[in-house]
Amino acid sequence: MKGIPRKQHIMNRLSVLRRRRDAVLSDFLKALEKRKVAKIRKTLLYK
Amino acid sequence: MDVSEKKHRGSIERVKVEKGIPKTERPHPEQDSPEVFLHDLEREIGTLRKETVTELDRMKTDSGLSPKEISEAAQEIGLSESLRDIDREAGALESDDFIDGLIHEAASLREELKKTETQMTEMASKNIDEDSKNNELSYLKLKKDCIDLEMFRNKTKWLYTDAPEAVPRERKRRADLPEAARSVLKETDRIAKRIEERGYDYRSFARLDSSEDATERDLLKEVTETFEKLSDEQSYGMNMLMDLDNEEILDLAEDSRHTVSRAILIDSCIGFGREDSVPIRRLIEAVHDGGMEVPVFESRIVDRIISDKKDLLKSFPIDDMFDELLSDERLVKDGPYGLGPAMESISQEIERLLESGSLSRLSDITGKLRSLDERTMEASGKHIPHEQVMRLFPEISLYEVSIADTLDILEGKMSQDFYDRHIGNNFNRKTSLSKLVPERFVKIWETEEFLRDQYAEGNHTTSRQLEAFLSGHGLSFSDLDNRRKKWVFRSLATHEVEKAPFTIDDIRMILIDNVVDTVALTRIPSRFRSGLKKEICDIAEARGYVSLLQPDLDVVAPLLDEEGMRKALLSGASLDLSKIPVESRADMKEAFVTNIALRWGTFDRGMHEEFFASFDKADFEVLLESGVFIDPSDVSETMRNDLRPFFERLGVSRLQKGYLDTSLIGNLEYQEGILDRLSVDSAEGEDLNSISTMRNTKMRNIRDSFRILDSRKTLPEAIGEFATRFEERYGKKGKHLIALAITAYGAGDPERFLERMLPIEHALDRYYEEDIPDGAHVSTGIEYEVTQSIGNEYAESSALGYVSDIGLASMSGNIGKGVGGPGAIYEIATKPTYNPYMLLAERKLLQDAGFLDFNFERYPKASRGYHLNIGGESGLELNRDALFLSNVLTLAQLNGVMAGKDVSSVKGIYEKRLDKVFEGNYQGGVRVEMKGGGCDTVEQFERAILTSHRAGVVMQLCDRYIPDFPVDALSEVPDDPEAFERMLDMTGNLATPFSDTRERDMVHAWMLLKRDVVSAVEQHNSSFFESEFDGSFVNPKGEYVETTDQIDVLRNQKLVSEDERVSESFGKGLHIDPDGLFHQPTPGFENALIRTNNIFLKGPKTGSNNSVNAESVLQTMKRAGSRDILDGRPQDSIFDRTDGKLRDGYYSIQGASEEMITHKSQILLNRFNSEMERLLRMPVSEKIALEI
Repeated sequence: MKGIPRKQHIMNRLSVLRRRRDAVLSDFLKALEKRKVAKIRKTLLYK
Repeated sequence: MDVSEKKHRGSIERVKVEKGIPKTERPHPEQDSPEVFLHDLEREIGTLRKETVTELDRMKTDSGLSPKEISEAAQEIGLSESLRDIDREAGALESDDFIDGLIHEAASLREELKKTETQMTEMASKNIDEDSKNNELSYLKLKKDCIDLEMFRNKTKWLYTDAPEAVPRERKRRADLPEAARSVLKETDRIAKRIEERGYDYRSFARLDSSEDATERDLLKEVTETFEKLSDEQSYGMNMLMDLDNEEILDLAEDSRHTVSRAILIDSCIGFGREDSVPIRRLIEAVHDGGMEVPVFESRIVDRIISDKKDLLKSFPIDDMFDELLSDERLVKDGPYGLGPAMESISQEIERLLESGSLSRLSDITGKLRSLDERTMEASGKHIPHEQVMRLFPEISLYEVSIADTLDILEGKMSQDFYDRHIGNNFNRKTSLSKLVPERFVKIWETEEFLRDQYAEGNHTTSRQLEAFLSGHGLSFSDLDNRRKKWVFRSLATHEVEKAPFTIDDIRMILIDNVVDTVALTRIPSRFRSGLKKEICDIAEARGYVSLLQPDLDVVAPLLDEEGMRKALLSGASLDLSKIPVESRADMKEAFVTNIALRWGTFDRGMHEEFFASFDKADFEVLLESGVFIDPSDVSETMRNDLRPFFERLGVSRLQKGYLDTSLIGNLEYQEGILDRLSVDSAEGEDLNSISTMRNTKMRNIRDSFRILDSRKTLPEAIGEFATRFEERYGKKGKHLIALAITAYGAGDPERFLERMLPIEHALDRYYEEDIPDGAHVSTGIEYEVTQSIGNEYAESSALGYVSDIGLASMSGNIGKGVGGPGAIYEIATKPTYNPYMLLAERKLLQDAGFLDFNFERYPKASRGYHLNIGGESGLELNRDALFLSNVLTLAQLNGVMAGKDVSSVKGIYEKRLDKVFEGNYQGGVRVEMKGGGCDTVEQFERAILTSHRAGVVMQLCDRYIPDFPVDALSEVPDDPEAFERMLDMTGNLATPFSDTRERDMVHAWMLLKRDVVSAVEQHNSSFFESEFDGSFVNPKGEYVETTDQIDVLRNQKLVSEDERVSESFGKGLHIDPDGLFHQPTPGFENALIRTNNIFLKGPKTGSNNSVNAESVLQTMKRAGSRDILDGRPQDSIFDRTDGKLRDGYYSIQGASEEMITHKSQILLNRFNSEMERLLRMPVSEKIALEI
């Protein structure tokens, strides 16, 4: 089995991190959206 | 978080697997140095952090929520913990052991180097006794060398060191290894001590072998025997040393107080190539501090350094190698014998130069070799020896030659000495030389010698020389017939010497050839001129000839009035005006202006303005009258106004077909130049009718598309920037896509352009290279034959016509050209790409540029078929899977709606050798080409491409995991993926365990598709009539299925009479062989489908026009389980839809139930596609969880 060079290995790890970060941020966005929608619903309800 | 992800994909994708250094391309140390990499890495990590913060802030602001709500949301998903983890890990990347070591090592090396240099200066200035000063200095120098060498290594090695996680390193290390090594070293020390007790040095006692003294020889014998007893263990010890790690070796060095054991340690490090991992410097210092005498090691380590350097030299470019050899005395100091590796490269270079006949370069190299020889002589008192000389020149080995002789002969000279020694008085030059040296040397030698003689005799002109040469061989120029004369001129122009048509004495002709060749490069042959007059030069020859004349432009002017020259210039021979001295430009102007031969194309663009400055209106008028194209922007504004009437007469009407066709052969820059001149800027206000405007726009768009390739400055800034970003993200393919987009949309309105690129960008980002399982990447490309009907239609709006336009657009857009079948005027062959959306985008842009139309609205008569090429990372063979894919696409109407008349022949699917993908390395094995591809609308095309891409991925996975899955077990495949894995396990059909559940699920989805399609076909054969005419049936699983709610049984029963339904021939005509799904398509297979579909379709009674049917089928798309008709048109592509997605329904044939084969297969294929899409685009966090 042939290994991958360091440089690429490190860049791959960086890209995995980036994707993880994006996943976390998108989860966060969803959580925010959820609250936003809930808030709007609530506002509409009280109108 | 697509935004930030997109931004970075480019940089990640561009990291390619490095596979060692190619011999001649040593990476530039500065570019590839750890420092640069570290800097990049630091920046990347910085961006990651900064982006995260910005993005978070933006989200918070955009949400419009209160801080409390935001913090609740953050807490809910554990935001800060996750981000902190990521941040920590990013930080860890920077402080990765390896990088840490690298920074540390590089810094300390630099420090050391500085220190040592200071020490050396200090030492040199100190007033102490000469001997110890020298000793100390030599040690310091050595130390400096070591540091130098290590720095060089450190600069390059990291590139080639495998990542530890990726290579499971086999560690043979045992717990007791250091101890065992230590005891062996101790034992060695003990023996060495005994030798020393007898008054001998450990290193010198071996020399006793030749001692005259018998006692000494006895001693040697005794000691040798003692050593032999230990030898097994000793070599065992050495082997152990190889397996120890650096620290352990250094520990042992600290531990061993004795010279001999340290010597063994050094040996083990140097001898086994440990110097890469054990820093020599540290070892030497350990030894030095321990009281070891430096000089003992000096020579050995210097040897090592030198031999390393010598090996490294092989990979240097030849000039660098000479620089190194000439600047580092140590490389030649110990005698020239060690030049082996360098001489190997030199001899290869010389070989190459002799082949290519590059005399000036050859004499450059031989000159350097001479200096090297002098240097060797200076340093070691020896010449480069005979053996090495022979490497340069193996044929000369019969003679006793020196390097000087060899170099002489290589340069075409022969020393008097050599002549006297080997050739003597009976010198018949030709025969002797032929014997002495191979033919190619004779050629060069003879030519050079001959020319020298000729110059000595005052024959400076080529014609004289040529005549003299011919007459020397008993010929005269007039003896040559036209064909041969022509050949002489061709060789002048093209250097094509191999195909000489001469039948007379071969050698003579080769000699002529060489003379001509050499002469052509040095002086203008007046013969060429007469050749032009007599028209024995054709255009290509003349063109090549003119390019040869570049350096001698001052002699071109008199030739400008020759017809041949005019033709050469017309056909695109280019002269660089800047080479002409300013004072002679006036004369040139005369020649140019009065000469209708002159075309602007023959000048370097930048020169026009300057050149025209001296022209007056009359000059221009002459030029314009004579048909020269002038770019208005090259002329001053006043002059432009004066000349307006002329410019207005120019324009596309001036286009000459022949002019452009030849331009297609030339280089890109040149074409751009031509397009520039041909396209008249409409902003100048020409009164052009709409067709001309259209043609002009088309031309300008094509021209502008070339600007992507080099200077983007001439494009609107927004587009230039966009292109750069696009290229960063999608590579070369991205760049060419922009070029294609400019061809389609033009660069005139940047805003509109970017708007149009938006859906394309959006689609391209639907593919992530990392989404594809390792080893299963797929490349796709299509071939499409363009028929005359498209050409005719297209020509209406184009000045150059279809073939020229697509030829040019293909160059900037990097679209390939296929061979094309009979009746095709062109074959578009897209270069394969990993990103299937890239292929879809290429189709879109080609369509928008008017080169094809897969909706067949603009070109209704165009061919509806295309060939689909699928290549895989581990190869896609033409196996059952590939055949199934092709057939299931047909079943699902994705190769065109099956309706109308029976077909008599169908196109198959073939295995082909792989075409190299434009960029990237995910390619191996063979590819398959499906010749049966076809569509009625863009949507079918897009579905077919995406399906094939996904299937290609799975097919490779199947090849890996279940290559031997038995055909008859297909029906046993369970619905549940875990049960499927258990089944494979139990039956032993799993060749290798699934690396993750994602890949397992993909394989499972494919198996389910196969299982269910086969079952659907079986059901079609057994229950078609029940299902479609009775309203219910029992499926192969024994379940009762009711279809009455989907169909109008009474209506359907009217479609086919009872009698027909029971007739054997009718049933037979509808029968589809399930096994046929895994074989090459047959007409029977397709006809059964056609007939089945025909039952429900009310086609026109006459004619073969099946488009009416196709249209109505395609216009009606339903989703499985629903009777509603989906929104959207099949003519719309994913780029037209707001969600950028394919519709997920089936094309409905009115009246048939979902169980009908045409529907069922589409529903099954949709299921497979959506499952594959889900698995491929699995939410990032889930997939990473699988990876880690």
